[in-house]
Amino acid sequence: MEGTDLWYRKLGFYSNPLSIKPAAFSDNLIGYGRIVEEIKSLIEQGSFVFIEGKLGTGKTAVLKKIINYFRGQKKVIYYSLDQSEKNIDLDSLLHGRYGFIGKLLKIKPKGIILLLDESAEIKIKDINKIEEYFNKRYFKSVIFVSTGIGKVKHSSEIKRLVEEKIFKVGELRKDEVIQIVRQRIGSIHIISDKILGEIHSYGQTPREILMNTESVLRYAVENNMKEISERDVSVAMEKYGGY
Amino acid sequence: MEWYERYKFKSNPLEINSFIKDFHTINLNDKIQNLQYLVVSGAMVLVIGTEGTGKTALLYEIIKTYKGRGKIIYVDAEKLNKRLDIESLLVRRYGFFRGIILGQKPKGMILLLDNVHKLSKKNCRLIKYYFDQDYLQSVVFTANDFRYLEIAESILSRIGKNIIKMNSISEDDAISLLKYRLGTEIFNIITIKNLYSFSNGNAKKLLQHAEILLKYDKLKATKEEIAEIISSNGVHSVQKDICDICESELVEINSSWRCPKCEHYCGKCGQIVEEEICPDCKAVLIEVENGRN
Repeated sequence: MEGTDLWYRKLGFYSNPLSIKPAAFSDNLIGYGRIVEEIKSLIEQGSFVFIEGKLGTGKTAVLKKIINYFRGQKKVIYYSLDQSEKNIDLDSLLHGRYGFIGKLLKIKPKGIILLLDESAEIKIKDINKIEEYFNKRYFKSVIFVSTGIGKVKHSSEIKRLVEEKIFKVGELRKDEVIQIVRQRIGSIHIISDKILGEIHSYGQTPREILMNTESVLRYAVENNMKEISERDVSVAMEKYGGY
Repeated sequence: MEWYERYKFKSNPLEINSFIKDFHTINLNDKIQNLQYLVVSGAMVLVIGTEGTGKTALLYEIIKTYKGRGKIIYVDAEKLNKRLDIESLLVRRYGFFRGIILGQKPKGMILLLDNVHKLSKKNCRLIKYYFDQDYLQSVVFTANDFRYLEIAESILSRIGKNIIKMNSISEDDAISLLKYRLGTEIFNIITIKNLYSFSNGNAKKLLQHAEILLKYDKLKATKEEIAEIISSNGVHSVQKDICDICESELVEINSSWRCPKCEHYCGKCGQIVEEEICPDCKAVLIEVENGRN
């Protein structure tokens, strides 16, 4: 397939503007701006935070945002947990911060921000060690991320640490959906705000919205449409399988 | 002398490895275009289809598109002895100095994971992370069956409806495939149709059976003759299927898979029958433990 056949090239974009990769997000996270700001200030004060949200709601995007904000200071450790692994090797994570010398001399930096993605399967030992290191000020702040605090193992322990600092990322309102897509594709005429509202009815999480809008636009451009109707939306979903 | 030299071929025209000989006569154009689009635009894709429906052939099309650009990582999970280590695959791309010593990883790679039945949690986590961070531009998984796939939900959610279903090949596909590979002279249409009836829509099987016939210089064959030649040469597929109903392992009888518990079938020709003696080949039926479901 030559590049010129791609729908987004025809609309004047070099790469897919509706990519579901959080890395593609530019400046502000629509709908989550306030959450990101609050989390940032909590991190700076130093505390435990929990972010919950279903699949595709933008948990990783929020984390990405936080990493970007604190980048360059060598203060952030991103770690994704899983079942098969034993305990998190917090010591080597910390030693690694000072590079080769740090590993050799086993120096631990202080004031690190730890981001724990997919923390549903966290072990009690790890929680205790994290707390210990937090008290010793190796960790300034710790952020747990999971689909829901109720689904985390040892959730009472984590609740004790994070207290009321639980943030929920979730579904978007119609106007936020329109904003989020417009931020990516601008005010092109082929798709109206009304149609974006229609796409909203097929799924409300940011990932669903992006994938569904991509299907619709791809269908429309490939069929040389000038404007998309509601019927076209359902046909496109049928053809390219909406989310 | 190899059998194909008798037919004036320099190499095996019925090669089943899609990296050596292509299947392009089987109409995959829509699917190729869709996959190429998804790969270019950065997505996770799942290609589903039983054996011999062209999953690897589809991946090969992607490899051809990006040939020489050093962007593709192809892994056949089935042939991998060790555990799959996505991280070292990426690191090794940059060679010894940049990759292994400095630990740098290339961006925008395309990962093709053939035959993933089971991805370890660690790999799911890494694939998700590298995809989100754009080290991996796109990821394509292939698998035989959706039901036996164990992939983390966070990956499935990123795949969404980017699922390409492969179909069994049709009789027309079989005819055009064999004509493309062998020319029009060797088999007649009826023989090809007979061969097709033993293939279960599996292109690999079709080619394997055709190869056996040619080894015996059998250019025309009835169904019975094909059945006899195949059973005496025992082409055994690597795939072991599982019964939908009782989950016991299926047995292969003359290129059709039968469940020894649920189905009433002929032990010689593999056909499903009601009578006690198979009307086709007059063999006595296999005893069935639980009767027919």
